[in-house]
Amino acid sequence: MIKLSKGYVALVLHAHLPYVHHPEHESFLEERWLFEAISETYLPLIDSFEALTNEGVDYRVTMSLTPPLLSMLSNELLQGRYIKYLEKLIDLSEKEIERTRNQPEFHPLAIMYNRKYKKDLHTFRDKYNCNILSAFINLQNSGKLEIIACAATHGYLPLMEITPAAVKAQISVGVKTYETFFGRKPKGMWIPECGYIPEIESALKENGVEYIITESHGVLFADPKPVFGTYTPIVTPNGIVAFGRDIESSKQVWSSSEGYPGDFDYREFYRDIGFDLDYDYIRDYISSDGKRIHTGIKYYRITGKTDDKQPYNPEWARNKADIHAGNFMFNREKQIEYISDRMDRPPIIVCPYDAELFGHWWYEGPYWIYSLFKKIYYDQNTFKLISLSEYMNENPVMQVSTPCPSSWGYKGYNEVWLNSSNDWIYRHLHKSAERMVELANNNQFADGIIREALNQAARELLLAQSSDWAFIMKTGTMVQYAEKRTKDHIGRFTKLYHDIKENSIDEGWLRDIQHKDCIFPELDYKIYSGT
Amino acid sequence: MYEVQSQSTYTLPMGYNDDQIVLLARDPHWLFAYWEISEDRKNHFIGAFGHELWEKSVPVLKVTNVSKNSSFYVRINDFSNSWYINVPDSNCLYVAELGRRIADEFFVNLVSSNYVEAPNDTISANTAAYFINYKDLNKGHLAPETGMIYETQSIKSVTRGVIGISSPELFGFAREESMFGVSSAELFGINIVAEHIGISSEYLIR
Repeated sequence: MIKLSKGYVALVLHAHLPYVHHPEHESFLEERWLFEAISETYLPLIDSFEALTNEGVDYRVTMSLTPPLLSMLSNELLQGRYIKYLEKLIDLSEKEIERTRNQPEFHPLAIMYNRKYKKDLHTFRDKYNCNILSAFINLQNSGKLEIIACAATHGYLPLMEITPAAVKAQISVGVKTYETFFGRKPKGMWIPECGYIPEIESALKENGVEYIITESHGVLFADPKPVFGTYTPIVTPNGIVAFGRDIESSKQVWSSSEGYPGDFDYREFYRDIGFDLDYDYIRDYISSDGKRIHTGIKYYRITGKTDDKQPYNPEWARNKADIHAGNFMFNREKQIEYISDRMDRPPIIVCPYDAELFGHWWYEGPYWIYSLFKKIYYDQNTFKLISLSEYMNENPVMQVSTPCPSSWGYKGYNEVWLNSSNDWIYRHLHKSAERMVELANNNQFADGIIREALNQAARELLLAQSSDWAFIMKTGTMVQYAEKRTKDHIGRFTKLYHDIKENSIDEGWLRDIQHKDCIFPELDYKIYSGT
Repeated sequence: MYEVQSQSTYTLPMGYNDDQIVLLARDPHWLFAYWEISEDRKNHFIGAFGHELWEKSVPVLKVTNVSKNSSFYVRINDFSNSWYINVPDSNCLYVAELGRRIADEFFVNLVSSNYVEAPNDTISANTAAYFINYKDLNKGHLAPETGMIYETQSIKSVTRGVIGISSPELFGFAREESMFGVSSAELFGINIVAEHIGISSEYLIR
């Protein structure tokens, strides 16, 4: 007998990296963020999703792919550099196969990495012709994956609202970029850092965005009080649907102390041969200035709260991922069984995570998703996976309520992006946004080089607004780079502002920064005009 | 010339020769203000009140809770250009004025900020539960006044009989509310849920 499911679970993966593109350097350390994410997260996720599809498993997953990420994944320079990155790793893993020949605990791992990176190279270059976006597009077309939009450069909207045109530009450029890459309009938008304030709604509405995702208390503290908590979305008086993050399921995956990724059998992120091996041996594979870095080849498991780490055993790790997938499913079943009896509509458990958690930080994460989706399909009938827009279609009647201003950052509000380490940026970001509006209003019919300069000014402003810089300043690693990026973009913007006003564009310099900051080729500065 | 990798070639200015104060909400109980006062503005004050009064007066932020119609002063200093302000009431609208306090009695405003809402940190006391089809809201352009929507839609939904359950009482909402960190289950008023569906620690114990 077929049993009807009592509720739904929606896994939402937010894939984002800041725009890092340095053609002016032969190689650039921070560009590795993208390469590591492709090898450790994006390709393994695609692999998991395609395997599920091929095996006939019906699943649903929602993903945001941010404009900077879309731009970098389709950038030929970065695609070429990723291939070089893989070739270097294949070379290193071959050396490792030799070096570990008499170390049975490490030798199979060296072979594993060698195979993995060779497979990545084949998949990336030969199967996807260097552009893995085609894989995501195919998955979206198959109906299994719903891709949602994100703001232009992942700008943190609650601290930008002093210049409404800046919020509007972030949202409209985000939507336009989505349309360019995916050939359709997005239903939903991942608001950067889940940073919500009611003032962003008009821009969402104008750009046709139907839904967003907020942190749990964004919905739980909404006004009026939501009858069903985060177990169904609410709709604001402006018609924007807000899904709240489920607390229980977040903790199971996210928590550093009790979350799955901390299990002793999983691969240890912090032990990497880039730090462990002799300097002369590893020198060619680390940073060009001689600094040791993570190579991606890691031989140990978490083991426990000890420095005496034990060798990684992929089979144990996979078994543990299967167990954790079963545990996650079991808890969602119990949650839904209990809640659904008390509701007049099927509950939805919304589980948003940073995509890069899966694979990059939690090496076994993409396999865990594969195992979870398979178990959900074959082993239970209590709930189904669903995409957020499917749930809205099936359950369009919602409580009218306005979410509480909130974010998914530490402490739940704006503090991560506004504290003594980064508060100095807002004076400059706000002034630049105000000046951009002034430029757009005073140059309604610009053409030629002035028009190019205006468009570049808009690009520089957007790049300066990326929430990543403030976040990095707060976390304390790579701070110098984040400060440099903030100063570079505001500095470039300010020079453009004065040059445009004085009608004296430094053309050689403009060409140089157009080459470096070549995100959003279709950008039209006039999005800032009129306000 | 290529840029140096580690440092920016640009130096940002200390200010923009503006007269302004900008207020931002950090969380329900802390606001952040940054400001700038031009020499012209300072000279304007001196022209009106004399140099001695500038010297003898104290730079302050006058913070007003617009929602509760109350205000307080935060003493700052002439060398600062930003400040974190502790505010007692969340979910209220605030405005800050930068000015000079004279003999603890008079306040002279130099510049006023934007209005900022300190976010909410509790469950709303408003238990009105109106349900509508979100697609109906999306048919028009921006929604008219919130109150209108609530009224219209609630009448509509009741007459249509769309709503099965909308009474908060049914879910035991009368219980005492807890603060931030509440789960949906708690919002339902079912404490037992925590035990019942809590995270199984079987596989997680180190």
